[in-house]
Amino acid sequence: MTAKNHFLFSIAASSLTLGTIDPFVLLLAGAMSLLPDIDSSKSVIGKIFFPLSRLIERYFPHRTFTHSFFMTAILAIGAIPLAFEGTEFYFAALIGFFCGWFLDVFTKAGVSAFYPMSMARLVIPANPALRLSTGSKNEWFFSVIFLALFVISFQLHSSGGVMQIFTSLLAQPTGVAELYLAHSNKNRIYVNLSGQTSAGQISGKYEVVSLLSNNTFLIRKENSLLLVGDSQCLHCHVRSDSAKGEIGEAIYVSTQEVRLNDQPISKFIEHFSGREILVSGELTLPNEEVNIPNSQMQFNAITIAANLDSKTARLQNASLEDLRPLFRLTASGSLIVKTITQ
Amino acid sequence: MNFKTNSCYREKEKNLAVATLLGGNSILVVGKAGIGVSALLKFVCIELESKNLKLLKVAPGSIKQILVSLALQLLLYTEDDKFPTSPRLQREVSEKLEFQTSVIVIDEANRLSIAVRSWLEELHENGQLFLLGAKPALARDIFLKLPRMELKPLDYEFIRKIISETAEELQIELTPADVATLQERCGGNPMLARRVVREYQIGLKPNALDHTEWINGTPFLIAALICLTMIRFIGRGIGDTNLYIFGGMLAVVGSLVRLFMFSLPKGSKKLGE
Repeated sequence: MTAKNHFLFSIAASSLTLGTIDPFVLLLAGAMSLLPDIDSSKSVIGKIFFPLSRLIERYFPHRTFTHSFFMTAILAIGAIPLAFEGTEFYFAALIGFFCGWFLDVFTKAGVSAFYPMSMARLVIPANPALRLSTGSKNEWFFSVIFLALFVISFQLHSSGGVMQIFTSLLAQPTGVAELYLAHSNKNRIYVNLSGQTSAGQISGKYEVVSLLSNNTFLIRKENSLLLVGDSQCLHCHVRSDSAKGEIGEAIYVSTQEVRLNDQPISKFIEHFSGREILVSGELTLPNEEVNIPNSQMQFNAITIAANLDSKTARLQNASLEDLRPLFRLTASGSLIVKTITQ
Repeated sequence: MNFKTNSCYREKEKNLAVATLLGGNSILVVGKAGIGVSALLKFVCIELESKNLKLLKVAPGSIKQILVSLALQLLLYTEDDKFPTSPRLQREVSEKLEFQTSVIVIDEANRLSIAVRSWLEELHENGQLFLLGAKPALARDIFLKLPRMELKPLDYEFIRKIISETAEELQIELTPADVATLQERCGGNPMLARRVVREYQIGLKPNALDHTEWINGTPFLIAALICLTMIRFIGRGIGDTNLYIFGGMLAVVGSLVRLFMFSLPKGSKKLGE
C-alpha cells in the first residue's frame, strides 16, 4: 500500500481504538505507520533516512523484518520511555507501526510477519487475485474508506465516544448513569426523560442530581426529587421509557466534611446561604417535634428516626431548602457537603 | 537438467546425498516445482562422477525408452543394433546391473509410469542404488521405500545471489532496492528468482506471484474479530447492559465478516495456478 493509505489507516485506527482526536497523538501514529517501509529506499521514509534504508535493503528483502511481529515487539519494549510522556503516545506509536505493516498483508506480495521464525508471507485473503497491487487504482477506493473511517471516528469522539452515542441510542437509565459518572464533576447533567409515574406520564428535560445505583438516579422536578429507574424498577418514582443523557453547562464541584457538635443548624444554613449545596450524612437531634414533609410520591431527602431520648435525621442529597424545617434545632453529627458553583 | 548456474547453494544437502549413495543407500530428493531438485541432482552427479561411481542417467519415458537408454549405457547394445522385446531387454538389463555397482539417476521421477516404477522397485529390492528427483511424490511403491530428502526454500541470501547472477547474465543493472523488491516476488524459489529478473527486464508487472510460501492470515483476522465477543461477557460480568449489547453486536459483525471471508473464492496452492 502507498504511504498515504498507511497514514490514513493508522490515524483512523488509533483514533477509534484510543478514543482520541488529539492531533499530536494521531500525527505520531501516522508518522509511525511509515516507519516499516524504511526497508525500501524508494519509500517516503526510506528517502528521508536514505543511508539506513539502503543498508537494510542490501541485506533483507522488502517487507520482511520491519514488517513483522518481532519488530513490533522490539518497538513495544524500545518505546517504553514514551509511556512516561503519556500512555496515549505510547499506544499511538505501537498502533501506528502495527497498522503500517499489517495493511500490506492485503497486498499481493504480503509480508513476512513471522520473521525470523519463518520467511513465509502472511496474506489476507488467500486468493491472490483478490489482493491489492501496491500503487494500483484500487488504492484510491481504500483511501476514501480510511478517510471516511477517520471522519466518523472524529465525529464520534467529538460527541463523547462510541459507547456514549450507543448508550444514547438505547436511551436507558444506565447510559445516563455512565454519563453522570464521567462528567458530573465538571458539568451539569440533564436527562431528556419520558416515563411513567403513579400519577401518569412524565416527560421533559430534568437535571440529574445524584446517582443511587448503576441504573437509578435522582432528578429534580420543580422543588422535589424523583427517583428514576428502568421499566422494571418497582420502587422508583419514575419508570423510564426513554432516558437520554445530555451534558450541560460547566460547573465547579467541591466536597467538604462539616462536623456539628451541639450547634444550631441555623448557623450551618447561614454559612452556606446563597450557595447551591447537596448535603448527605446523619445528624442527632434533640427529642423535639420536627415537621418534615414526607411523601411516597417523591424522594425524601431527609428522614427522621425516633430514638428513646433523641432523634436521628438521615440526609441524602438534601438542599438548603430541605434543611429549613430543622432551622431552630441544634444538632450533632457529620455531614458531607457538595457545593456546586457555576 | 539444463542449468546455467555453476554455484551450488545446497552444499549440506549435496554432501548428505553423496554420502548416502557412497554408503550404499538410495535416496529420493523431493521438492516443489522450481525449488532446485534438478540442480541438486546435477551437483550430486558431478561429485559422484569425480569419485568414479558409475551413473546411469535416465529421462522419464515409456518402459521401452528407459530400457533402451539403460542398455546403451551398460553397453549391452549399440544404437545400430536391433533391440529385443521389452521383457527380454528388462531381463538382460537386470542381470547386467546385478554384477556392477552403479547408480540409476532419474529426475522428475513422478512422471514414471506404474510399470516402470514396479520394475525399479524390483531392482531396488535386489540392491540397486537410485538417485531420484521428484515433485512432492505420492506416498506409494518406490517413492515410499526410498529415504526421502525434502528440499526447503532457499535462504534469502542465496536468492539475492541468484537474482544478481541472472541480472549479470542478462546484462541488466539492478539497484539494491530492485533486488529487495524482486525478492519478495519469488520467496525461496530459485527458478522464480531467475524468472522475476527476466520479467523485470521486459517490464512485466508482478501480477502473478507464483511462489507457495504463504500463510493465510484470514483465520487470524477472524479469530481477532471473534475475540470482540469477550466485550459481551465483560459487560455481563460488570452488569453493564450497554456494553453487553454492544459486545453482542460486535460479535455479530465478526460472524458476518467470517461468513464473507470464507465465501471468497479460494486460490490454488499449486505453483503457477
